Amino acid sequence: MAVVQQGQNQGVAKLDSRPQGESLWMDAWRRLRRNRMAVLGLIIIITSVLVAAFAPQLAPKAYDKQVLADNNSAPRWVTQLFPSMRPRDEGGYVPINESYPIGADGLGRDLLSRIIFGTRVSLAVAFIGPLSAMLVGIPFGLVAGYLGGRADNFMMRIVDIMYAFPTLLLIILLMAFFRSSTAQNDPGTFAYELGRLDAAMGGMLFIAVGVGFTSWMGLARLVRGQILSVREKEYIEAARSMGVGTRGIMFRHMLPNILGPIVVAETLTIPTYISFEAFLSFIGLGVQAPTPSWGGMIAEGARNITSYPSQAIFPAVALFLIMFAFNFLGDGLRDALDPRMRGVD
Amino acid sequence: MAQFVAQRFLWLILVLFVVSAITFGLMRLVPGGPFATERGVPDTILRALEEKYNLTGTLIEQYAKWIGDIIVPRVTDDTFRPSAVNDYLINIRLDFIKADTDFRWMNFGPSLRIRSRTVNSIFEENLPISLQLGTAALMVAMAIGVPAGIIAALNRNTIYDYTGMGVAIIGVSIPVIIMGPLLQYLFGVQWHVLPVSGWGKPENVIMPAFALGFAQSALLARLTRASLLQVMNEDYIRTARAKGLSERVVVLFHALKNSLIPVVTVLGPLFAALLTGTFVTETIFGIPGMGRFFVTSVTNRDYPVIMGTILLYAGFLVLANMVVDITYAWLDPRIRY
Amino acid sequence: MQKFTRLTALLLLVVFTLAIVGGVVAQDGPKILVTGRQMGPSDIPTLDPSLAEDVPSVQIISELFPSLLHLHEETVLVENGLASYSVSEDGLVYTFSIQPNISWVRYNAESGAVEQVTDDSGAPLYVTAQDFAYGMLRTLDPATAAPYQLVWAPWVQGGVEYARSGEATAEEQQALRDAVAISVVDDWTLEVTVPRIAAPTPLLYSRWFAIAQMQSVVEEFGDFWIDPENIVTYGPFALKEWVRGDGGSLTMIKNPFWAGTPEIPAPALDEVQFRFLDEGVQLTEFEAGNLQVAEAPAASIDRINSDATLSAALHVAPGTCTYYYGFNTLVAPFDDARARRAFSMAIDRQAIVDNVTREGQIPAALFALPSLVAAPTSEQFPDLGVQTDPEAARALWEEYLADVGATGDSFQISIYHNDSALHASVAQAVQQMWAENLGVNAQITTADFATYLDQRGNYPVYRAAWCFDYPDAHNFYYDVPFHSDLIEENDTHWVNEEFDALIDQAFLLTDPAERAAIYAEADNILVNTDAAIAPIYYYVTNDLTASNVIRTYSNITTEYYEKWDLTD
Repeated sequence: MAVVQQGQNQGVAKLDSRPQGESLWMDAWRRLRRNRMAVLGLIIIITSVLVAAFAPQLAPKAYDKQVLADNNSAPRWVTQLFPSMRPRDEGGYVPINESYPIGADGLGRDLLSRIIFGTRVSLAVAFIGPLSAMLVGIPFGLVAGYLGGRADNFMMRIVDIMYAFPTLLLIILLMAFFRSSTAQNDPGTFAYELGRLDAAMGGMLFIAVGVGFTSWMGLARLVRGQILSVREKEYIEAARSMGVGTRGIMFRHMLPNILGPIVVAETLTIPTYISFEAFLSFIGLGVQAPTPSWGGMIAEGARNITSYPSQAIFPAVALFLIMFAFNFLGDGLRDALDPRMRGVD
Repeated sequence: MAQFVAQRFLWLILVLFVVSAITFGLMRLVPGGPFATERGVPDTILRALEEKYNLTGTLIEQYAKWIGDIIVPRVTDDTFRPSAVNDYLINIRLDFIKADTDFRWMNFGPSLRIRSRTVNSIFEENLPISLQLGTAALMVAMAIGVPAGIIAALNRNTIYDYTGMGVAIIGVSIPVIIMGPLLQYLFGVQWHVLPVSGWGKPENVIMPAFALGFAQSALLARLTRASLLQVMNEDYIRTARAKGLSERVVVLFHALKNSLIPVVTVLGPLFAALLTGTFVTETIFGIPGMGRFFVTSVTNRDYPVIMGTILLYAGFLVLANMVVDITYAWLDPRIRY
Repeated sequence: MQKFTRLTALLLLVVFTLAIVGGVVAQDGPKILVTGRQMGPSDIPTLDPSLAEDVPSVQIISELFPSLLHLHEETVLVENGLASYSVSEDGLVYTFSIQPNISWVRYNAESGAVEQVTDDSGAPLYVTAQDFAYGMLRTLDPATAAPYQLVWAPWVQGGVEYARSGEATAEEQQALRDAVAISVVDDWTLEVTVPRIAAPTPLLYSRWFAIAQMQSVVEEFGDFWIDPENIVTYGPFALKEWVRGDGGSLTMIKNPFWAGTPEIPAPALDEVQFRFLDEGVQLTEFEAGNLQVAEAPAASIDRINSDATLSAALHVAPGTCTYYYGFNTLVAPFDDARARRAFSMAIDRQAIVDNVTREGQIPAALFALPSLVAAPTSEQFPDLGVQTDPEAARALWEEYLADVGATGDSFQISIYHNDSALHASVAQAVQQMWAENLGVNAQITTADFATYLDQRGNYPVYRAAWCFDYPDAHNFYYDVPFHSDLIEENDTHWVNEEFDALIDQAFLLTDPAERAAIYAEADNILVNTDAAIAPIYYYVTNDLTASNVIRTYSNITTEYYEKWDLTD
């Protein structure tokens, strides 16, 4: 159940011919700003980071406060937006309650507050996943690509093995092991503390760890492919002839030149991490109730989708916005970081 | 090259071996067993079942027995009775050598949860359905993704670019759990043009293939776009332009062909994902494919089925990646192995 | 291009014509009922009567292999015309006289017809006492490893000894098998000796694990004897097709050799197709007109009730299970009955069934399902069982806290359930009730079913349910492992001698009212004074039925489709 399928080769960086007085990043930033959709994406991401940070201040209600009697109620405008949701006072079945801005869920909890708090889980998954993938994948790919030959071959077979690694099995194992150790009231042990941390994070820790641990391979392959194609380039030869060491070549000369594709690839895999969380929620292995996550809310709402489409579609819109943002930002970054694009536009 | 391919094939075997060993150990570490029920299983019954299904002895013994059943062929006479633990994928009648003799090979074991089924029967009955669905979904993904990517690349940073990519992103952003029921409601209940669920008729394929393929089209769209943009900057394209060829000829005959190489290389892994990542699609559309086994075998602790699905997935992926690597080596002589 | 268009038009014409012709034919054709009821999205685990343990398997098996005695839809035991029985004067020997004309049949895929099974000379084979004896013994056979082995074994003289002989030598096992008091008097007469007189005994003969199986077929095909091309059956329906895998389907076809009895008539339907679908998909298929019977998902119940067509199609029938929370009586605070009672009393059951489960479930004050024989009911015993009372719960909890010198935060309380939207909703509602009524912040932990079964004994509170195996209250007090006989299986780890004594006492009585009174006392210990568990509600089954279906409604989850019909 590998999560990530990445492109193998997106744009081979070339020798950079940096205009005087402008750093690579300033130049990229200048060009990124020209791409309106990328800027929009960036704005959406920054906004959601802020929403996640200030969730308690922004949310109109507590995300876990149930008013059971208000289950599945909605304000009138929602029932007008989704005509199939006929209000109870018009012979339908949806109780009208204006005190929930976009309605309440099946347990009478405020949907908007849950979406706002759900930003935290989705963003955490969106950042922890790629970060752990980069921590493992980049050095792995760099070394494999640079060393080449037998070492490369061997390392790539490890990647092959990891591709087929049963992610779901690993996640279930982690959850079962650490969660049961917290339940046993056995404080002090490492497992207990990890379990506590997981509980404090709403049961998200092992999802992120499990996913991160099993999804760095695409990146490693990408990095290695890039390295293979740049390592014979003239500027690397030049650096080598000038006596730059292996590590220097790898991190100072090669890495910057392949950073573009890496950033792009990782930005573009973020949606797969987010949807994997949704998938886990669907099969019941998602975050712990009552912690809200968009994936969990969508999975829950999808069960009621013929009756209360709003409960699935509002979190789906939130998910769509963030996916949209990461996708367009990724594309924008790709264009902006491509050294050959300098001077154009 | 031949040596390289042969070498990679040996690696494939080794990788499958390691993956199966890791999975075998890992799955037995996970608490819970295949026979547990709400009522609790008496020890005597549990022991009988463990005996029958090769769950006694050390893990290494069990693994050796499991892998032996797969790789060691058997020659049997007519006293052989197939059973759930004795079911071979390949059965060849050897009448021309000796009467009433069969050559049998590859026993992937029984399902522990559904005791009259074997992993082989899952491969034989449910895998073809997944292959059909996966192929259809792949075609949908290409039909949406590649044109969207081309349009986006040729009209970079214009409304066409944004629209093309936007459509592809809609696909990846709307989970199948939302898209599926919506499609079913519209096409099945409201308009009555497509069957809501089920499998067997050609029209059954349309909605699930669309839901599944649309979700993957963004990847292809993006890849096509990026790759085409890159190719358009290559020297030979400039040369072609300089020769006075029309832009359309340049794009269609020179740029597109080369830009699709990276697209082709992801088709293997993409197909593997479409084969195995279909739990939700199969559940919603009531398709008796293999996708659900990837999840239910784990949640049921159906050990031989876990092993079978993992082997299948690993074999498929490794093979796909191997093809990619060989393509790379063939395309770019500078990459040495 | 022109050519292509014409070709397309022609093709379309052909397709439409076929579709219209097909539609006309379908109207006059066989009566085929398509149902998703109680199936769920997963494949049916088995059709082997000795191995079945789940609702879908038992549903199909009960149509293919009728039992000696018949459990009517209203949870009453009747003779079904397949066999009659008498009990010896000492009450220990049950004699069954089996009708001599029940054919073994098999569906022939080539001819498309159900055919009689014949012996080598071509004479049809009939269901005999030997077949029943073989089926009953096969469930007991240690080699079968039948899940209901130890439910069935205690009801037959010598059954337990044989069932537990897994480690004995072949000879010893054979001796124990021969000692099991199931004897074939002649082809049509079967005698079973029971170890003791007990009221529920006849009920066991209505269960799927004690029915006829054909030895030669089981032995020839082994694990695969239940495949459509191998299986032999004798009930009102035969197995026609089984598309294996989740999302597949199973089709039963009318058995023309089933003559029909008053209780099990010859079917009016020609075929019944069961589709394995998620309940949400079932509703969509029902609304699209492709399923005649579907489950009504809780999530859509309000919409169904507000819709004229759907609400007319809805029927809510009593279910066969009790939903409860078990307390781990070994860990604080649940090692004290006061704490357990407080937590149980703090659960507002009415609010849960009204607002969370919403299908018409019935709040449970007692553990035993009210529809069982000899079960105590809240109508009869309104003062017994657990009553929801937040104030009393709070007082009791504070008394306990003061006693042990702790605060509400001193304990880590975790509710454990297997993954399911329903369990998650109930757990969250309970979590809030405990927070509001007791000031306790409980956590919720979920796991997949296998992990959950393995680990739930480690958690302070776990969700569980019990569905009856045979419809007698004894099943709810004894086979659910609260009796100390089965302590190893008991995840509450609770033992109470008084409870044990009451259960043992009621078991040997015959008058249902007298037994119910004793069970009421025992139940009150289990859920109230000792509060080892907190019963929450009794299940219901929800069906949507198309208006052209004539049907019966069952209170025992299993339906008898031979009584159903379709109109145009």
